[in-house]
Amino acid sequence: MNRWFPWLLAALALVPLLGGAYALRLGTEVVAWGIAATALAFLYRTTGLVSLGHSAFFGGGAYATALLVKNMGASVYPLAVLLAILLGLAFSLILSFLGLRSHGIFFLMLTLAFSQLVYILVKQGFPGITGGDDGLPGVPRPPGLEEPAVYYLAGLALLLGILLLYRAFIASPLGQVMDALRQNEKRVEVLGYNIRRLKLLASGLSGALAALGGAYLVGYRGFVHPHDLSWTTSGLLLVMAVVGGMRPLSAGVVGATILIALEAFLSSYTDLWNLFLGIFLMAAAWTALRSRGAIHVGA
Amino acid sequence: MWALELRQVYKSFGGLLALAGVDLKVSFGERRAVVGPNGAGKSTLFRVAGGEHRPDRGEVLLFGQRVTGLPPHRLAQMGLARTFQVASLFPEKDVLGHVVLAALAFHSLGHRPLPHRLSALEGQVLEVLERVGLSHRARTPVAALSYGEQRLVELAMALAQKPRLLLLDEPLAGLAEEERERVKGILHTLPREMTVLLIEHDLDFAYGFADRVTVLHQGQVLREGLPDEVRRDPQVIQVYVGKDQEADAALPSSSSPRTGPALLEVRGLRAGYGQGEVLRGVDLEVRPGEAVGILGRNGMGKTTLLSAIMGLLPAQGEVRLEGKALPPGALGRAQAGLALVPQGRQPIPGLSVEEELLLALRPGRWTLEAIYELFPRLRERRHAPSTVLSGGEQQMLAIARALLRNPKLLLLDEPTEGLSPLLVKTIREVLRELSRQGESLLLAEQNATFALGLVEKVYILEKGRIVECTEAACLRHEPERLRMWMG
Amino acid sequence: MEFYLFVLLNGLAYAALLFLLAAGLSLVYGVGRVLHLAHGGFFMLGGYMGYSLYQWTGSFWLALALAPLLALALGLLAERLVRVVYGPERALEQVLFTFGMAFVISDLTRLFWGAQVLGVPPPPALNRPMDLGAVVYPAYPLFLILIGAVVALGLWILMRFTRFGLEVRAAAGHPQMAEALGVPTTQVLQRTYLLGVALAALGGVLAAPRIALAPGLDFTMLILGLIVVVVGGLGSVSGALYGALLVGLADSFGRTFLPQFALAVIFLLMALVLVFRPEGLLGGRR
Repeated sequence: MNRWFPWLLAALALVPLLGGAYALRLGTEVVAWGIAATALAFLYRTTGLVSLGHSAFFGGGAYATALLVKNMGASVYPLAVLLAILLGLAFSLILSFLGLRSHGIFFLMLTLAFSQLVYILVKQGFPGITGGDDGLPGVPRPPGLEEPAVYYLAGLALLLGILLLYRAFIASPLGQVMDALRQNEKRVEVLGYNIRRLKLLASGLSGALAALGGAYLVGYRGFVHPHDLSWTTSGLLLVMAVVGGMRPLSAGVVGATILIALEAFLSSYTDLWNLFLGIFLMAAAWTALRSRGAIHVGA
Repeated sequence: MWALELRQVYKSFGGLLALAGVDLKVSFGERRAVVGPNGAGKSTLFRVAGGEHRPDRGEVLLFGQRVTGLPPHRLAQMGLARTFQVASLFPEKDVLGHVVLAALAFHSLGHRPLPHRLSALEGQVLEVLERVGLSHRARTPVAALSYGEQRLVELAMALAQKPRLLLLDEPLAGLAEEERERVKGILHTLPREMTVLLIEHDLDFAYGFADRVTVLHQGQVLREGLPDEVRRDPQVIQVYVGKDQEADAALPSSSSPRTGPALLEVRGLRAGYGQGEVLRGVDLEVRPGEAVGILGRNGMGKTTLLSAIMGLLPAQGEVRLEGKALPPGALGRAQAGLALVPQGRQPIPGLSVEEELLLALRPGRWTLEAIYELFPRLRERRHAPSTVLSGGEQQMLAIARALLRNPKLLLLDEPTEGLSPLLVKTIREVLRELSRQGESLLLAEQNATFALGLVEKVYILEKGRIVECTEAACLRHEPERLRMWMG
Repeated sequence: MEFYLFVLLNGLAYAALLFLLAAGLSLVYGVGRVLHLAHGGFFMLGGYMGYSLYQWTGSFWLALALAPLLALALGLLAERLVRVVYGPERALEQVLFTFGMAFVISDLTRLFWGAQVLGVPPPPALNRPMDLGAVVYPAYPLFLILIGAVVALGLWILMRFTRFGLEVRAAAGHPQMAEALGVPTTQVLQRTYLLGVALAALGGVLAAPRIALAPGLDFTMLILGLIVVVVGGLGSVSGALYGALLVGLADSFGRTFLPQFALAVIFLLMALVLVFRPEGLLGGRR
């Protein structure tokens, strides 16, 4: 995977030149979703935790940015994005604090419940602020980045920066410890590391990054919708991360590319996108099992 | 001030008291071996000392400071390092990665989030790898290492932490001969300032390595002192080898050699855990109505053998019951007529005594009533949850439910482990009675005298192989031979 | 006073539905160590199949009887698939697989029944108010409470007094030892799964006269089911019962006093439990 990843990036960089407006739109989606899927993969890669509620951060980041920018003008974009990231960080930390006191499975349920909570609150709880079922349209573009191609390239640069930071982080001492955390948590603890703190850190970073992805998405798309907070979005992010392989740095971006291309292709033929997503997920589980070892039946 | 001190430490799990008021004082720079039969509480002691378990009562002091209840990483930061009995590594990393991680733990570099040249650590890491002899394997992923090499990585990690106190959990377990020598060599060259606490079943090594020895029995310190004193202490010998005047009193009646087709046939059995091979080709036979013993010191493979015969472990080789090959899993073998009284009794959480018995029940000679007659105590406690029973009661339950399977062959794994002498006597009487009634028994025991007072034929298991097979009567009259194998 | 009784009874009726959903979820986790994220889908399927059966036969009671049976048939297929991800070390694969199954059920349901909101009227016999002295209350939710109590009792008897229940508890408590004592854990798992699915579908049919059938119901119910088992403790039927009662009542009172934030109240409940008693109120086993 890692060998032809630079080629993929190069191809993505060439989209404004070779593709049309539609390709550019898809490319921007790839960047936004790619950032969020990378966040999800990062969380799994370091801690072994699976989040089923990353839509809360992804969509939440979008909503936070949209709200601020709509009400205070496009000039506050930097502030809005920063706020989105901080919110993602904060809620992620709270969730992991609650969920890590026992089994990892509780973290999973907690993320799912939390994202559902956010979804309902946004959809029905505060419709005056959040636009309820209709979402928030009319979000302006950031100043200086109004051109789609420019916005896209800026996003690509951002993505590249994130991936380089990710790589640097994994190569660092702390990153090495986090890498080991998923593989054998107990051992890491016995060596003298505070694993709860490490998990909190990974979780916070993951939430923050996903929120950044959401902020990027809304800046381009111009609107945000409760669907961005739904379980379908969480599921899609998970499939992306899994299809990309979960562990490599490229996982999120590769997965996002494949899934967005697939959705673009399939949506012209069928309405049953969730069905395919579901089958994809099941197939991914099967493959993950096979690569881990023999398929073992029974308790 | 002591390097490690345990004051009146109690720890129980469910109904079982694993540590019953243990006092331990280890001086700085001392080499202490903790020995004792299975079930004595050695692992629990280690886990309490390592911060994995919090004692119910009592205090743990590390380098003079109260550390009772602190999590493992805090203890590690204070200077404690541990190795695990079964290598606990990071499957995707290489050897170097492991040692670096260990060395980083309390280095200020450990928390740097950006790449940093680790030159400061390089020297230390390379030195450790030299020490354990893994320099040439530094870049090899640990998944590709042999079991012995993996254990060496464990050791290397512990050394890289530059601990002040090192807890070694059976460092020689499961290793082949050359590997054992290598590890022994490394252990002998440990710096003198390092305090070492060691659990080991290889008593020759333990006694040779340690400055002082603590013997645990049934969760309490039985004896503590210099190796030679402890080794010769009659109480200690009794606990290990078993010495019971009544052993000779009632010998099993059948002394004529058994003929006829074998009930159980095992040929070339190989099995192990993870990378380690514990059984290296075991052959044995049990004839109908026979009582057969498997003797051997701890760590030689007795439990692995019985588990493999029962189908609880994947294994290679042949296991036949009444001439027919047995299916691979435990369910199939249970249905075919094997029943296991497992090590540690293994009560089923959530079930009462009677429920466990009913669960096991199969038609045949043994009925619920008959069992209650044999074990009146179980009748009294029949509505109690099985997990709150005392050790002896749980052992009776384990035997009872295996009997209720009305099996063709009863497998018993260390049925006397952790039991008081009175209970040991009771169990022996029960087993003798079963044997008299014609039940076929395969018994694995480290308490040799107990076994010899019960069985007709004995196999001795040493490092995964059968090294001797003789009449029990012979061994009973040759205590030296027995001592040689049992330590 | 009358008002509070009303809210209380509503909460209990809702708790009955939640119990039917959560009991299966909890049991399947206890025996197979797998979190069945498609469980909400079977609840919803039960409701939709109940709707179709009602349309076809005109009888609510027939629909009630047949829908769980249909769900069992589907469950047989589903179980053969889920079987590959049983076991404690497979968190990621379990999530992927059961979540994927949930998506499949979700879209297939939308394909067959469409996206509009469907409903089933309560049977005429129960479509009237009952005078309970202190309060006048509709018969149908009372019926739900009754069914919930009957099922809870039935499950208790099943677990405590039957061979199947014994095997389920043994497989949940110590699967290896249970196998060595002749318990066919794979079969036990299968039957537990089927039981869970049937209960969920039953809950779905019963819910149809009270809750709107529309896409999204599966995940809404799944979330609630998860909260119930977190609060009550994973792995036991009694945990599901207590959790369902708490969540049902919290929901009812929440809806009454803080209408848009009912779910937030429930979520807060879950958060509190996780902080102070992470194994759940009745948890504490593996």
